This record gives sequence, structure tokens and C-alpha cells, in this order.
Amino acid sequence: MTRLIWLLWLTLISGSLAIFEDQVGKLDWRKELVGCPNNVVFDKVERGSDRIILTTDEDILSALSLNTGEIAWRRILEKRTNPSYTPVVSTSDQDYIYTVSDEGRSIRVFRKADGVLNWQYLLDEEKSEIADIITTSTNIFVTNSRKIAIFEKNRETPIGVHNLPAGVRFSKFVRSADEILNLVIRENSQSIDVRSVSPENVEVVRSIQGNVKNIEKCEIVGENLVCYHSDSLTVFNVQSGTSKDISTALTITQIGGNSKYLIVRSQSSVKIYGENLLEVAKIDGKYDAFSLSNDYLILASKGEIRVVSLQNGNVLFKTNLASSETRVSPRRIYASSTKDIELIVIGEDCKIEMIVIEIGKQAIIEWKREESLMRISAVEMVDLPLSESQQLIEDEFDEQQHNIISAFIRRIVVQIGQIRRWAIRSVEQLFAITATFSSKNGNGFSDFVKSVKQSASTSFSKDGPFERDLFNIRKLIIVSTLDGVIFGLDSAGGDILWRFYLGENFSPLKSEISGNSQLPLFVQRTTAHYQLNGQASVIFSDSVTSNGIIVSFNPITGEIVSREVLGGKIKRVSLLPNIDKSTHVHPLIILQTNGAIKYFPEIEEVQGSLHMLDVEKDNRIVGGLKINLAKKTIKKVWSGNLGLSQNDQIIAIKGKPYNQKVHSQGRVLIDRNVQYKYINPNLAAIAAINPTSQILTIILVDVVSGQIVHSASIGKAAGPVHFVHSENWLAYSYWSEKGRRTELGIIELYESSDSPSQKETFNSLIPTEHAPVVMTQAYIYANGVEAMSVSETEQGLTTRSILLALPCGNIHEVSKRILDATRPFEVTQAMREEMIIGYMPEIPIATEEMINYNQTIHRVRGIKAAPAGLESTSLVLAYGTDLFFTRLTPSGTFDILKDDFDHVLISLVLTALVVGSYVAKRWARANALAAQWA
Amino acid sequence: MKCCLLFLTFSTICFAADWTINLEYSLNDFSTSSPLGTIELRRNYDGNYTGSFKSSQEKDFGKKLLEAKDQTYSVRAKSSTQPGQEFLTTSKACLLLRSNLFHLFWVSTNGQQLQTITVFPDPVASQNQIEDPENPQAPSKTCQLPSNHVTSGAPSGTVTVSTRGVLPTPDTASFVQRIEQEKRAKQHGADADNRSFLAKYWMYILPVVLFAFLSNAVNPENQEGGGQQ
Repeated sequence: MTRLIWLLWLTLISGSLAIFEDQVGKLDWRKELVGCPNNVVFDKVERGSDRIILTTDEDILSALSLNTGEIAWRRILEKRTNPSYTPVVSTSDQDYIYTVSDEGRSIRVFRKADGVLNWQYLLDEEKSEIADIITTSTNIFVTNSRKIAIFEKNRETPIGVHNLPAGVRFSKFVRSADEILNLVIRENSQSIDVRSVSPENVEVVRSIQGNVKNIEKCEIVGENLVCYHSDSLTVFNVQSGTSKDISTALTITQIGGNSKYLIVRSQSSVKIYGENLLEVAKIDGKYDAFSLSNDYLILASKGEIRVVSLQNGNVLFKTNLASSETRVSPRRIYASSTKDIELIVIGEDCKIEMIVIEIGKQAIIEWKREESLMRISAVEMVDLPLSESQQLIEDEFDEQQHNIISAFIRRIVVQIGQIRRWAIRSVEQLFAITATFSSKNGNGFSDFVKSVKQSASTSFSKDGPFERDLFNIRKLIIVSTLDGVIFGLDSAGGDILWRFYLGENFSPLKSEISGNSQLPLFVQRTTAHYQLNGQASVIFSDSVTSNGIIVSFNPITGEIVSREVLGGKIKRVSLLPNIDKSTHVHPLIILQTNGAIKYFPEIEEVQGSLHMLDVEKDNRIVGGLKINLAKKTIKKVWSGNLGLSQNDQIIAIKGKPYNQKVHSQGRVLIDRNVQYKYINPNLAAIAAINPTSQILTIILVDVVSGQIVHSASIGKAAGPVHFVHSENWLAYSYWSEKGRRTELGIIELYESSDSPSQKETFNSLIPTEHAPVVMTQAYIYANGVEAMSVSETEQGLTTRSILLALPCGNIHEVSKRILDATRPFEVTQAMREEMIIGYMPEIPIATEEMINYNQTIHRVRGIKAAPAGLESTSLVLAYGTDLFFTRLTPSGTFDILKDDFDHVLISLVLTALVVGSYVAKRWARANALAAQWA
Repeated sequence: MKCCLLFLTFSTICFAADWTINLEYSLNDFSTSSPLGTIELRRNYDGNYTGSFKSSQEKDFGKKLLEAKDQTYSVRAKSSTQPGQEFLTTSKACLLLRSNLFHLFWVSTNGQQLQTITVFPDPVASQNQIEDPENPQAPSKTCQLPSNHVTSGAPSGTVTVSTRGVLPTPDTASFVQRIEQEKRAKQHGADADNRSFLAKYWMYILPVVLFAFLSNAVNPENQEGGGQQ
């Protein structure tokens, strides 16, 4: 019976959670990305549209349309665990793309037209740092650091495998004359082994003497192996087995070329070497990248593109793209030339641009893609500025003086303004309606209703004025990326409203705990103070001096307000809860590694103290710091080892958002008593895992006093561990080795007494009379978890939902009612009346609860939730390989009319009724009169 | 003799389980420090520890605290099971004075390891007397003490020991058991329901009967009426 009720309840709830077919894409959007390319191949076909095939730093293979830049198809391959390992390498022929991925372990063949996997083969169990692949008309040759494998193109098993000796650190193929050669450099070896590779046989044909120190500085150019070292260049001729040294008198930064020419780039010039390594030309100037195509050499710098003839070095075409301040230096360029030159420029900011150069005429940027959005570090959602009428209303109530006449005049002015705006808007709408009427020849009633509806929706659309809407649902999403680009996105459709690059010397900050790179983003002044512009800041370090830099900007326009260089490295940075009275700015507090404390912006009158958690990662000593804000002194107030041993690795430390709202203080029990939540704003959760003993420990510690409110551990647990810390609870996920499954746990804290012990403010220095009651529960979750987050609403009244990003590309919304520590084992009749759900060991996964329905998003790294103006609604942005934004209503749309609510029909019926009743009244009176006369 | 030996070994186990934490306090960030006392932790039969605080019996503890009433009161702890490690905790001298020198030591342990120790003023005493919970905006205000506060005497205190718990695992066993139980109960219930057919389904039969009765009651009249015409 209970199960039946449970199922019924579930179907009811999930039915209300799911969206209808016509709501697809209405409240949500998705942005698909491919990542920062490290290799681009032009794929020109006779029929169909031209494409470019990219392999990217994020190990994604994709095909983009050359004309529009849209993704034709995309295959997400295994991500490298070590960034120094080789990315996906690929080669292609007429119909197929051949790749080595998964750190040199798998060979996969994809069909070019649609990216369908044709076949795959596991080359090796172990990972390999290097890999290369080459094809002939019938065969595929693959190498990694251990072997060379030979395949036939249409068979998915190798026809021959040749094992390489140990210690290979370089292995590449060279297409030389009519044979394929393989070059191998081993560790501590003075020679390069050349193997001739054919389907029948692999044998060492010769070895070239020569000491190669730095294999990163070796390239296969044409049929030669070219290595460089400061200003000297060594060219190993593979065919003859000879080597030749030349001095270029330049500090070489990049080499490249084809079978005829060798291009050497230095900081100040580019040299072209022709046959027999004779210098053809020298082009002076600072260029960042070059590419060869037919007889052209294309050079690109920050603001300039130059096309040079390879034969003589003459400049054929030169163009300035834009003012060089706004442009970013290119990282790589790829060119293809038929009649015009098509150039793909990949900037240092991971922006892909397609430029068509008509020699002698012009260069046009055809399209661009912002691929740095794949590496988002931090997200904030900012309210849009108040609209004019809202500002007027704010002004009216802002006034301090209470002169009746002036207040009256002000009121009249405001209302005239409102009428004026209303009139303008209605006229605009009327025009829109007439426009739709004139464009459509259908004149049925349904057409009329449809057009009215459409015009109503366009007034709420993306092209409207950039101001806050009625329910504050449209926001501006600020995003900081690890490539050093800050974006402002419109939450209505995901359009990029503004962007800026943080500069050449950008380097993200590194977290000491997780070792991850971060680019922290803080909103210092929201748009709530409408007289003042908002202010947001990002903090990063200079890659050269490693000093901290703070860039603050206006979040609405993306205008940079200031750029301040700090005098030292940054240790910690945090937003102060204190506010500067005159500017309404929350200052940043910056702890430097030299012990200095800085505020940004500088604040004069600051009082009180700030407590911080300090973790010495190596010694596993955790302590509390008290920072006297006025005197800028740091004092250790508590320290302990938190029971962490040397093998324990702290995975994550999470406090609570300082502006989180908790609406209800307690939870009503079934016996009508209230159990009060233990809401300690100073509580931080620490999760640590011991990989040797497989013990996961979760510690809840009060940062101010150092009191461990609760600590618990579980054996046979492994990562990935994710957790969210909110209100009075902590939800976590881990892999259970014992059950071989993912499990979700929840810890809830309640006051042990009947009344809240600390009513107004929480004071960590005074303990609660009794230790808080800890309630815990765990559930089986039949899916992996990649990221975890929790919904946020305006007042914190709506039941929260936990958002789980799954490896399959879905985001699962689990209500807190289900992931709850207080679900009873025995459900009595009274509990059933209260809709309490009994304990079931598994969290059900229903497809209706996937907030991104069929819009899969991969490799989710984080989910950001922000409140909208409506209490029921939470705005959610999930980011990873793709971006996905949607509105979430964790408890249903209780304060919103249904999407299909027919305003027009209802108003029509109402007016018809009123008119009808009036007519009927007249009619009745006339009838009555007539009856009396008769 | 055997019995005696057993007792001896048992007692040594008992004593080995004993565990002390030495405390010293300072009112000037450990420029000078004095002993505060020791916390003795003793293992219960159920494996948990209970702690008791033995004061150093320093007579002018209260007076020292009163002299430095606006200062930070720091306590340093050394556990006998973790040589070389120091644990630090601080409170405010004023809070201790308000709670009549009564301490609450919150000791958090993991097996025989001390995780952290936190010194609190006694919650009952301090909570009653705090009219103005410490305002973070005005921390420079000097310590206000009630008129009846005690400044003489040695420190006293209680110890709360919290040990590291165990995180739960999904409770499949009891759930399956409950489902089984329910199933069994249902089967039993179905078998046990040996009421008569009428007693069980009267609610379905009654309307049918009523309908038949009513239609019978109406129809004869109609027939009669028809006959008259």
C-alpha cells in the first residue's frame, strides 16, 4: 500500500515537474562548445558544405561548418588525466577520420560526413604520453611509446604489431618519398632510430647520430626532423641519415614548414629557408603565429595579418583587423587557399575566428566562436538595472522630506511618466500587431489570437530594453574563464553582451586545497543601488611576476573601472560582509603570502573582525584565524588536527553562502511539535578521503570557535566526492566500494531543545545548551555524480532541490523532501496525511525529473543557482563542455499562472458576458414594456 | 591466582585506556602561561569516553581574569596520546567571568586521538546574563559584568566528549524486511477476512437493491396510469 501511494505521489509530482513539448527551449537554452583547438584540418568537399575538422585541448573531435562556424557534429573523447600527455591526434582521408585518443590507448575511426564511429580498437591497456597516426591508401599506422601497430583500413584488428624498446620519448611518422618511416628517440640515447614501416615488416633501417635534448622543440617538417635550441637549428635528413646544423642568429620560438620550405619564427622576425636550407627571405616584425598554404606564408600578429610570397618573401597583402588594443594575440593560425585564403585564427583567449582574405582587396571576419566558455571558473548572476518607471517609484519613496505639496507633485509626475510609458508601449504593440496582420493573409479568429499572443511575447523578448523585468527573471550572467576572458551573458538567450580579455600576462590563481586553477569573481556592488553602477571584480595573478591583480568592472556594460596591481602574491581573497557606507561597495580582503592584509577598494572606517579557516595542507593542521579589520592583524584563535592523518586528503571545504536566506526556523513534527534547525552561519564542512584505508571523513566545524559540531566517517568509500552545504544540512555523494555503487548521504542538524537557543543572532562563542541533534541517512543512487548543487530562491521558502549532474549528460533534480534524513521507516496514517514519504533505500531516477530533458550537457563541472524575483523560481546555469540555463521551480509554479493560461480568451469571454448582460437587460426591459402595452 | 592475574590484566587495560589532556591558559597570547588543570578521559563500558576536569586549584584565577577582562583567554592543550601536538582554543575572559569561571570543554575525539578542544563559558550561566549579545559592529566595548559575579576561586568546568561517528549506509536490509513483513501481513489479512459475503460487500449490494426497490415502486404506478388511459 505504501509503495502504491509512493508511486502515485511520484507520478503526480514528476508530472508537474516535467515540461511540455511546446515549452522546449522557451525557458532554457543550451550552448554547445568544442574547446580550444590544437589542430585544424580543412575539409573541402565537392558536394555539400565545406568544413573544418578540429581536435581540441579538451579532447573533443568536431566538425564545424566553414561558412557559418556551426557545429556539424562533435564527439567527446576521454579527457586526458595529465595535461602533458598528447592530446587526440588524428589524420583523415576522403571519407574517414582516424584518431588516437584516451592517452594513446584507443584507435577510433569516424565517418567524416556525420561523425559516426566506424570502428575502434583498444591498442594498449597502459597509458602512453605520446602517440602518432598516419595513413596510406590502404593502411593505418599507429604508434605510441611502446609499439607500432599496423591496420588495414576496413578491418578493426591490427595486421601487425611491432614492439618498441623501452624508454621511448619521441615516436613519429614521416611520409618520405613512397614509404612511411618512423622516428624514435629514446631516453639517454645519442641517436635517432629510423624504422621503415610497411604492412609486411617493421625494421630499423638506419640511425642518425645526434643528441636531442628537448624533444618538445622538435618538429617534423616535410621529410625532415628539425630540432631547435636557442638560436641553432638541427635538420636531420631521414632519407640520407645525415644531419646539418645552422645558426639563425635569432632566438627561435617556433618552426614549421612543408617539404620545400622551412619557416623559423623568433620574437622579432620570421625567416624563410628554401631548398638546401638557404635563406630565402627575412621578414621583420613581431608575429605570433604563421601558416603555410600553397605559395603563401600567412603571418599574424595582434592586429595585423600579412600574406607573404614563399618564393621571395614579398608582401602580397597586409591588413589591420581592428585596433590592436581590443584584439588578442593569436595562438595558432591555419590557412587554406584556393582562390581566396581562408584563415582560422585561434587567439590566446580561445576565440576561433574565420577570416577570408581576398588578396589585394580585403579581409573579412566571417564568424567567430568563443571557446573559452568551456573553461568557466566562476559564475555570478546580477540583476538588470531598474527600469525608468521603477526608478521613479524608488525615487518617490527614497525622499526623506515630507512636504505634502512636493510629495503630491512628485506623485503626479511619476504617474504621468507611467502613463506616457504605457502609451508608448501600447502604440508599439499595436504597430507590431498590425504588422503581423499585414504580413499574414489568414484572417481567422485563431490567427488573431495567435498574433496577439505573439506580440505579447515579443514585448518580453530579447530585443526589449535592457532593464529589469517585472519578476526579475532576466538576469545578466557574469562568467570568468580560465583563459582569462570575462563574459557578460544575457540569461534570456545566452547571447554574449560583452567580453573582455584580462591581458597577456594573465595566469589564474591556484587553490591550495584542490590544486585547481581558479579565477575568482566577486560582485561587490549589486545593481540594487540604482543611482550607482554595479561593480564586480576578478582576481588573478601576473604570470611573470606572480603578483596579484584585481580588475573591477561594471557588470552590466563590461566597462573596466580599474586595474590594480598588488605588491605581492595572493594567499587568500574573500568578500567582506561589511559595506562601505558611502559607496555601498563590499570591499575585498586580500591576504598576501607575505602576511600583509589589503582591502580593495581601500576602506577607512572598518570595525569588527573576520574569522577565517586556515588549512596547512601538508601537516593536516586546521586552524581558525581572527583578522582584526581595523588594525589589520591576524591572530590564530584555535588549531587542531581535526583527526586528519597524514594520508587523509582534504577534498573540499565549503561554508555557507553568507547571504543565504533560511525562511523557516524549524520543522513541524508529526506530533505538532517544532524541531528547530541548528543554523550556524559559521559552520564549514570539510570532506577528506584516505585513499589507502578508503575512509571518507566529513567534519562540520565552527570556524569561529573551532568546535567540531559533528564528525563522522565511513569505510570502503572512494571518490569522486561531491557535497553541498546549505541551511542546516549537508548532502554528499561518494562511491561505495562495498556496494559498488554511488551513494548519497545527508546530514541534518537540529537543536536539541524545544526552543531555539539563540533567537536573534547566532553566537559561536557561547555553546548551545546541549549538543545539536544529528540526523543522518544514506540512499543508493543508481548513477554517477559529476557535480552537485542546490537551488536558491528569493526568500528560501520553497523546498530546495538538489541538482545532480550525471555522467550521461543529464541534470537530475532531487527534491530535498526525498533526499531527507528524517524519512520515517514506518509511515503511520497521520504521517500519510501529512504527505511524509517513508524511507526507501534508493533515490528513484525518473526521466521527467531531468531538468535538461533531452538537451544533454557533458562533463558538467559546476552548477550555479541564483534566485529570481519570484519565490517559486530559481535560475540555474550548468557549465562544463556545454552551457545550459533553465528556470527551476522546485515546488512547482505556485505563484505563476500556467504557461498556457489563455488571457485573451478569458478577457474576451468576460467582455462578451458584460456586453451580453447589458444587451440582455435592455432587451428584457423593452420586452417588459412591450408586454405591458399589449 | 589465575583470577587475580585476570583482574590485573583487566585493570591495566582499564588504566591504559585512561588518557589525559594537560591544559594551560594565558591571557596575553602565551607570553606567560599558567597551568589550568587536566582533563581525564576514561573509557566507558560502551567504548565511549567520558571526561572530567581537574582544576589546578589556582586561587587567584578569577582575579587574574578580572584584571584582563577585555583580553583573549587562550587555552593550550597537550594530549598524552599525541606527543608533540598542541591544540589551541580561545574565548573571551569576559565571557568566563560572566559564567562565574565555569568552563565547558568541548572535546572532540577520534578513537584515542584528540581532534580539537574548544573552551566555552558555561551556557546556562552565560546565556542568562547576556542582555546584549556581542555586537560585531562594536567590539571595542568594554566588558560589562553583572553585580553578583564571582571573581574569587579556582576554575571549574565540565567536559563534553564528542566522538567521531559513523556515516550511514543505505538501509536495504530493514527495508526488504519491512516489505516482506507487509506482504505477510497482507496475506494473513486476506486469509483472516472470513466475514460473510454480505458483511464484506454490503456497500455494493445496497445501492443495487435500493435501485431495484425504487424502480419497482415507481413502475406499478406507471402501469396503472397506462391502464387507466
